[in-house]
Parts: sequence; C-alpha cells; structure tokens
Amino acid sequence: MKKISLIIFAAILIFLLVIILNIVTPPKTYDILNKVLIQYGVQLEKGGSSPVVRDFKFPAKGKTFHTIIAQEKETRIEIEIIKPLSEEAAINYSESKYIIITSLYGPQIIPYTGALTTITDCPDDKKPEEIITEVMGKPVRVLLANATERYVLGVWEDDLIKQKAAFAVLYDRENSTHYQIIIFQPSESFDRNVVLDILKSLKKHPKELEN
Amino acid sequence: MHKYSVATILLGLSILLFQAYTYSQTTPSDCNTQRKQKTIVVTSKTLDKRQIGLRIYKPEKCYNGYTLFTHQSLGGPGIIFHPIYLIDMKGNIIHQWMTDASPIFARLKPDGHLLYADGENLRGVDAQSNEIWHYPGCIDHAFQFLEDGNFLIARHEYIDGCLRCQDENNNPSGKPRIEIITRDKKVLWQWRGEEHVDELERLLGLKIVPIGRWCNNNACEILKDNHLGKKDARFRKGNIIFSFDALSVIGVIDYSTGEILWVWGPGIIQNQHTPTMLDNGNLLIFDNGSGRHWSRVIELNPLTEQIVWEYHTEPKEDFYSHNWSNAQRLANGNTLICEGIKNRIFEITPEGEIVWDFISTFNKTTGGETIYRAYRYSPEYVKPLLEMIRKVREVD
Repeated sequence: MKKISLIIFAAILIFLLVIILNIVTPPKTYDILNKVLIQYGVQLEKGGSSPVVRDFKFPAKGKTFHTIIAQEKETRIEIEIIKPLSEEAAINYSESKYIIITSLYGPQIIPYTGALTTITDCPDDKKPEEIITEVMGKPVRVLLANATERYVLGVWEDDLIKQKAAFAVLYDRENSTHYQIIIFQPSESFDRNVVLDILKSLKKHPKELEN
Repeated sequence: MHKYSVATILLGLSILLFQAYTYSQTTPSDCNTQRKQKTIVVTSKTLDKRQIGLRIYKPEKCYNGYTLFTHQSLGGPGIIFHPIYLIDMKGNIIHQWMTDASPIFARLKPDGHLLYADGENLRGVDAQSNEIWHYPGCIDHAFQFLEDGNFLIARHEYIDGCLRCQDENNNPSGKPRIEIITRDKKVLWQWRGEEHVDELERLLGLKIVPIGRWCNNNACEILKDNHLGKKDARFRKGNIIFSFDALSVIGVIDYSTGEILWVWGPGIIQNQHTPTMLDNGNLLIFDNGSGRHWSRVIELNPLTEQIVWEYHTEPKEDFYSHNWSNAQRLANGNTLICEGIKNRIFEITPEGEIVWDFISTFNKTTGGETIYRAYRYSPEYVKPLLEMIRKVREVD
C-alpha cells in the first residue's frame, strides 16, 4: 500500500514539474511570412500570415541568398530570394530553373538496380502542367508539379505522390530582386485556385508604393 | 521499503556492470585489433530505397559534426550559381557557398576557408564565397592541403582543353601529373605519370594499353607517419598515394625519386576511388565494383595486401555507385561513406550498423547531379568558419 502511494506521489510530482517547466519556458515564437518579406518591400496578401518555420540567409559574392519556408495547416510556402541580381542574369537564371524542374519529369537514369524504379519515364499525365498567371502586373509561368511527402519535386509514381506544388520564378526590376516561389498542398486536397490566389497576392508593400 | 531499495540498487548495479562488460567487448580499439587478424566483413540491410532526406540518425552512436558536399553540376546557360553545402546531423544547411565555377568537390580548410576543384582550377573561397585564390591546371579529382601551407594536387595535362582525352589519332592527350605547389603558384615537385608506364607494367605484370583516360588519377595523398612505414620503406612518411581507376590500380610513389614502389588492385578492386591512409597505416578504399555491379568499402593492410575489413550490403547490389564516391574513417572509428551516384551519404559503425543516413535532394531545383565526395568535420574544426559566418551576419 505504501509502495503504491509512493508511486502516485512520484507521478504527481513529475506531472507538476512538467507543468512548471512549460510555464517557465517561453513558447517558441515564429515570425509570420510577411514580417520577413517586408525587408524586400513585398507582402503576400494571402498566406502572408503563415508562421515561418525556416529562415536561412547567407551572403555570397555580394549578394544575399535568402530561403524562407512558412507553413500554415497544410499549405507550405517556400520562397528563395536573391538580391541584387541583374535583369539579364535573372532572365537566364529563371529560364534555367524552368528547364531544371521540367527535366525532373523527363527520362531518368535508373538510380538503383532492382525492380523498384522500373518506371524511368514520366507518364504524360504526371508531367508538370504549365499555366500563365499575373503576378505584380506581369505574366508569370507557373508549373503545377507533383512532389513527395518531403516536398521534393520530380516524382511520378502514384504511391510517392503526396504533395502538389505551384512553382514560379519572378523578377522585381525596381529592386533587382529575384524570387522563386513554391507553394505546396497535399495532392489529394490540392486546390489550384487557392494556390494561384496566394501567388497572385504577392504585392508591393504599401510603404514601398509610397516611396 | 528498505528491503526493496536494496534490491533496486543491486539491480541497477548489475545492469551497469553488464553494460560496462558489453561495451568493453565492442570498443573500436578492440575492433582494430581484430581487423589485423582476419577480414571482418560487415553488412547492413537495405533501407527503403525511395526515402529521401535524413533517413537515420542515432546521435549516441554517430560521430556528430558537419558534412560538406556539393552536387556536380553539368552547368549550362543560366545556371549561374553552384552551391556547396555544409549540413548538420539533422540535414539542415548550416552554411552554403555559391561559386561561379561548377565544383566537383570541396574541402574545408582549418582556417575556415574552402577549397574546391572545378575540373579546371583549384579555387579557394572565403565564407562569403569570394574567391581569394586559384590555381589553373585541369585539377579534376584530388588535392590535399599540406601542413606547411602548400598544396598537393593531381591534375591532367591536356593538349587542348581540360576534357579532351584523345588527340586526332586517338592517342591519349591527358598526361597525369601530381604536383606540390606553393600558395604563390610555384611548382615545388612534379611527378609525370607517362614516364612511369614501364615501372607500372613491371610491377603489375600486365601490358598497359594507353588509350582514353587510362591513367585517370583520382587520388593524391602524402603518407602520414605510420608504423608500417617503419617496417617497410615503401610506406614511409612523405611518399604519395595514387589511384588509376581505369586500370583498377592504386599505388605508392617514392617522393625522392618518383619511382612507383608499390601497386595493388587489378582483379580485386574495380574502378576504385579515393584510397586514403588511416592512422594504423591501412588504406581505406571505396571499391566501386563497376564490373561486378556492387560496391564495397575496404580497409587494406598494404604490407600483407590483406583486406582486413569490408563493408557491403545484403543484397550486394543495393550498395552500388559505379563511379565517383569516397569513404572517410572518422575519429570514433565509424566510417562515412558517399555513395555518389545515388546522392547518398551515410555513416556506419565498425560493425556495419547504419547510424546516419542522408539522401540529398538539394539538387532538385539547382540542376546539380551526383555527389563526387563528402567529408565530415568535427564541430571544433568548423569553429573558425562558424565564427566568420557569425561576424558576417552581425554586420549584415
């Protein structure tokens, strides 16, 4: 009887300790996406309040490379920003990005011997669909492409397709800034209108417009 | 209650004693002893081949640090940034360099600067990817920075451009060179491979047909002080390792005369990469096995020419990189392996247990291809770089 009481007492003690620790430890705070984007003078009117889960910036060769990943519920927004980048370089770079993404769904060299990767050619219905939409007053090519559960593009086997993404690159000439935006949603609930609305909602920040 | 407490303490002590006993049976030093006696073959089972990113991480069993690698890039119009990554054990990018030229592989210097080979040049960059040094000369496979500040490089001398293997008459145009160069680009020492074909044939007992990239050399490393070198002068400190993958041959060159002293490999290894000397004098080799279609990592005692340790998978074909790749013995006795063709880097214990496994997908949006080599660095080693990064970010 004494032993049981002791165990109950210990359990209560641990429970209280956990509660105290939770109270003392400040909750992890995340910036929202727009708070990070404002430094580039832009904001997303839709999806901009998504909590940032990764914010990685590094300087290289006089440029800033910035990767921001924000996720709210099942929608994940990945933005890569390069600043400054000349318009000529940005045009070439953008073109190469579309080629790279499209080529992920082209014929592949078998990476493993064995039966698991017998499908080395992507069926047409699994290849990226290209549409044109307008972002910040300019036409932008968008690729709607399949991805894995870990948000990796270039997958076409049915059991591996867990996400679908809208991929786009665009260039802000006034600020010499290049953006690569990928918006993911689970493939089963992927809503192209919702995703495109997020993309189209990229706007100059009001303060930037005043300037 | 008193009776139970005593029993609990006794039970705890028994568990501790048992763990201490089992640990003593499996320490790396003991494994090293066993390696000298016979070939230890360790294997692991195949993981789900389609899993990507970080697949396994057992912190308590790993050599925890940072891993450096890059995806080889085929280049092309528009691909103006070529990333080199330093990742932590969870697969997060800790630092990234963006280089002008397309890197084949990179190594981190103790001062925090990075050296990379792009097939044409050896380039040094700072933490912000600014080029601080470069040395031209078709350096495509191997280099080593030496303690005195000089560099050992393996390069090929071509008649016309860095990739042209044969001239109009199908004669080989690439001539292997191993050189020691200074920071101000003076050549202190040079070895010309084509002058040692006769020696190679004599040692191998084979006739070499010098076509294509017959003498493609993917290694150069100055032998460190080791006990084998005290027994046999061929392996003494200062001599140099080479690796002709097309001939499936590794060997040792005499630093003072340039003579090839020792060769090994044909019929046993195939298209091997990156032989490197371990502290115990043995050589760690990634044996690609391009003819047999499965790879292995082996530890060779060069004196007895006995394979004393070997890692492969079951089934064997599941660990296979027909080209590229490397292996690095870590300070805790584990081995880091880059299975280059599959963009896979993983760490195994001496017993073959996979304790860290990572498949990079960073190339999916950057146009990169396979990984030529990967290296793990301790947190202590990376400290100067991290300090530089911290200062840059503060200014930023």
